[in-house]
Order: sequence, then C-alpha cells, then structure tokens
Amino acid sequence: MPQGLHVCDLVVQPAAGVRVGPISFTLAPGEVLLLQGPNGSGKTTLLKALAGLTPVESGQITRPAGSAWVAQQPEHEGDVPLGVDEVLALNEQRTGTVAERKLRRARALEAVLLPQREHRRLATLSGGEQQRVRLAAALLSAAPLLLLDEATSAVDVTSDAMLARHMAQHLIATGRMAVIVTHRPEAWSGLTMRSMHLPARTLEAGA
Amino acid sequence: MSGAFGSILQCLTDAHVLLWQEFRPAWGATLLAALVLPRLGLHASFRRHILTTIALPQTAFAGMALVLALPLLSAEADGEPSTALVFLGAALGTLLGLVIAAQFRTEVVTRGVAAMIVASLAITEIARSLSPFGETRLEPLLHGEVLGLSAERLGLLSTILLPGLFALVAKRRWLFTASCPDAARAAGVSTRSAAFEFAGALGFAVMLATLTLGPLLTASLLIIPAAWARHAGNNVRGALRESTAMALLSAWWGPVVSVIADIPLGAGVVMVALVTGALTRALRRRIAR
Repeated sequence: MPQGLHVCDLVVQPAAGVRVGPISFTLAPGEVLLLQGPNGSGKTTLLKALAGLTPVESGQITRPAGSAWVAQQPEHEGDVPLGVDEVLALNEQRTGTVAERKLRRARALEAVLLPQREHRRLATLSGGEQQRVRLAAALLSAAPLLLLDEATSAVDVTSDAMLARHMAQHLIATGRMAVIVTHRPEAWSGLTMRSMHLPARTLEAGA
Repeated sequence: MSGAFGSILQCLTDAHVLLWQEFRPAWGATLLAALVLPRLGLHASFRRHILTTIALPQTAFAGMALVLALPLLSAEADGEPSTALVFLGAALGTLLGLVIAAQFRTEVVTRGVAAMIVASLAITEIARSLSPFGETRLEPLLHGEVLGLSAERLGLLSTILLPGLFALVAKRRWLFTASCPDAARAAGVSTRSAAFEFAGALGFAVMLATLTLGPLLTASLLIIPAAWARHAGNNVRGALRESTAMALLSAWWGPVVSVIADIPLGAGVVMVALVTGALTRALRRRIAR
C-alpha cells in the first residue's frame, strides 16, 4: 500500500464543458497542502477526485486506502438525529476498551476547542460547532489522508487560527497527510505547509 | 372516580386473561414484529425512504391478491388458495416494490412512491374483484390473520428476527452511509452494499409481516414509532430504543384495546401507539418547560 499521495496529470470533468487539470503533485506522510483559489476554480472537484468521490477523466492518483473527508456542508446529516458522540463513534478506530475510546473522543473534542459536548444532539449545535465536531471525527479516524473542504468556514476567525495550530500539531505528531481547501489562508500562516493556487479553470502548482 | 377507574382496570384484566388464553400466538406475532419493524422503519427514515415503508406492504399485498386471482394456479384440490403461492406473491410484490423504489431519484421519490401505493391499491382491488376466493379470503389477509394464526405461520414469522439481528450488526455501517455518504465512501465503506443490505433486510421483514399481520398493521409498526422517536431522543441510540419500546407497548396493549373496544386488532395497536406518542410528547414538553 502506498505511503504518500501521488497525483500525475490528473484531469477531472465534473460536468459537460467543465474541466479541471491537468495537475500533478506529490505529498509525503506528515505533509500538508493548502489549496486556494477563487470560487469555481475546481478546488472541491479536485478534493473529491482525491477522495474517490468523482470519476477521473484521465491521469492517475495513487493514495493510501481510505481518507477522512470533511465537507463544508454534509450531504444528509440533517435527517439523522445523530448525537455528537455518535458522529465521533462512526469515524473512530474501534480499538481499545470502551473507556479508552470514550477518552479519545473527549480528547478529540478538546482538540477542536469543544469540550464536554459529547451528549448533545449535533443539530442543536451552531454551524461552527458542528464543523468542529466533524473535524474531531476526522482526527479520530484511522485514515492516513485528511481532505478538508472549507471545513472551518463557519468557525470564528480567532478560533480558526487556534484550530489550525491544533490540527497542524496533530498532523505532525501522527504523520498523516492533509489537503486543505480554505479561503482564509492567514489562519494557517506561520505553519510549515505547501500551498497550491488554482485560478479559474487553469491550475498552477507552487511551493 | 375510583369506581370508574376500578371498572376500567377490571375490564383490562379480563381482556388480558381472555387474550392470554385464546390469542397467545397473535400476541406473539405482534410482539415479534414490534421488535424488528420500528428499527427498520427508523433506518428507512434516515435514508429518506419513509414513504417506501408505506408502499412496500401494499405492493406485497398486491402480489398476494394477484396470485389469488389466478384460480387455476392458486387453488388446491379442496379449493383453498395455495399457501406457497401466496408466499410467492408476497415475495414478488415486495421485490418489485423495492426495485421500483430504487429507480427514483430523491427529488421525485415522493411522487413516485405515492404513485406506487395508488397502483398497488388499484391492483389489489382489481384482483379482489376477479379472485374466485372473493373477499372472504382476502379480507382476513388484508387485516392480518393474526387471530387465527397457526403455529407454522408463527414459526415462519419468527424468522423476522434475522433482519432484526442483522440491523444490530450493520447499524454502524448503515448509519455512516445514511448520515454522511461522502465521508463513508471516502473512508472506503461501500454505500451501495449498505443500501442493498438494508433493502434486503427491509424487504424480508415486510414480506413476512405482511403475510402474517397484513399490510395495514405492518405499515403502522414501521412508521408510527419511527416517526415519533426520531424527534424524541437526543441521539440515534435513544431513538432506536424509544421506537422499539413504543412498538412493544402498542403490541402488548393493542390486542387488549381491540377486545374491549371491539375493533380489529391492527386498529387497537395503532390506537395505543398514537395515544402513547401524544401523551409522551405532551409530557416531554411539560418537562422541558
């Protein structure tokens, strides 16, 4: 199983007449790629292709098995009366005792600055808090690759910077890779990571 | 006041004794179904398929009615309809309902499933008018043959526990694919397999319940506890627990109410479910204040 993420001449065509790519890059374990660009430039499309959610037109993606996907707005979540602890349990690794898993969930919530919310219903939290819960779920998963699509767009500016710091610390400690789409790159400034800017319909890769 | 309460209590006790002596298999059947159907109904609501759970018992019954309209095939030597053929009709009706429901995109599912219900009712009525067994055979099937339930039929119904057990095992996978399909796919969980598993479990349970309890009671046990519980609990675990508790309560007291009020058994079960739901909701609101 490959350790890193290798993208070679990737082209994605999400709809007729819309084409994203070609694009190539490599991400090693522990590396973080910040994906930026204006609306409609294909950031989400690229991320979906990396997650295996969108068919690839041409090119190749070599990635480790499984990725943790955090969308800005989840597709169906509102129909299921999920509790916060249940969202975390769906994503977590099922290793260790019940008490250990409970402790891991509590720590993940603390890492996203949302302590003691385990027993709340997800729908009763604010939009920003719900996004933090989904981030905590991604941290708990065993997936070696994290794909975050504007995952902190509803989080306030101050917390966003703190969350970015926590996330970066976690990724460095666990050696996981991440591709992060954001319109607020300043929150991640000061942290060592690569960035890529996608102008509308044309892609450029940079360091 | 205490006299009236005492009379009601005595009436309930008498009905209980009467039912316990004569209708133990019927009680067993409704309780078995109440253990499994609300859980599947709740999962169906998570998948936005609550209307499908209304349609499936109707399509299963339409299949049963259709085979009863085929006199040469369904009549045995003594003129009774073949049990195997009724079973086959229910299976085919359920399968067809599942296949049709799977074709609908989310935005047309309401209209599509409503059309399926209407078509099933029309087929049932036409088959009923053509059937050589007439209404005498179809009416008990429609309202469920619970009161005249044979040990064999109860044994057959007990296999309804299999999809119930499967639902327990597959709960995490079903929830993940229903609540966050994209995240589940990205994590390597097949949403298609989970949908097939769920459809299979639902279809199997609905077919067995419709054969034994009839389409009306089957649909009621699928929908009422699920619709009530999904807004009641703080989480999915609570909703599953409360919907099953409500269905078991209804299945226990429903037959008692049906004897006291002299109404069909299914109507008794539904009435208890509705009253329980309304009372609990009112109580919750009061506590919340």
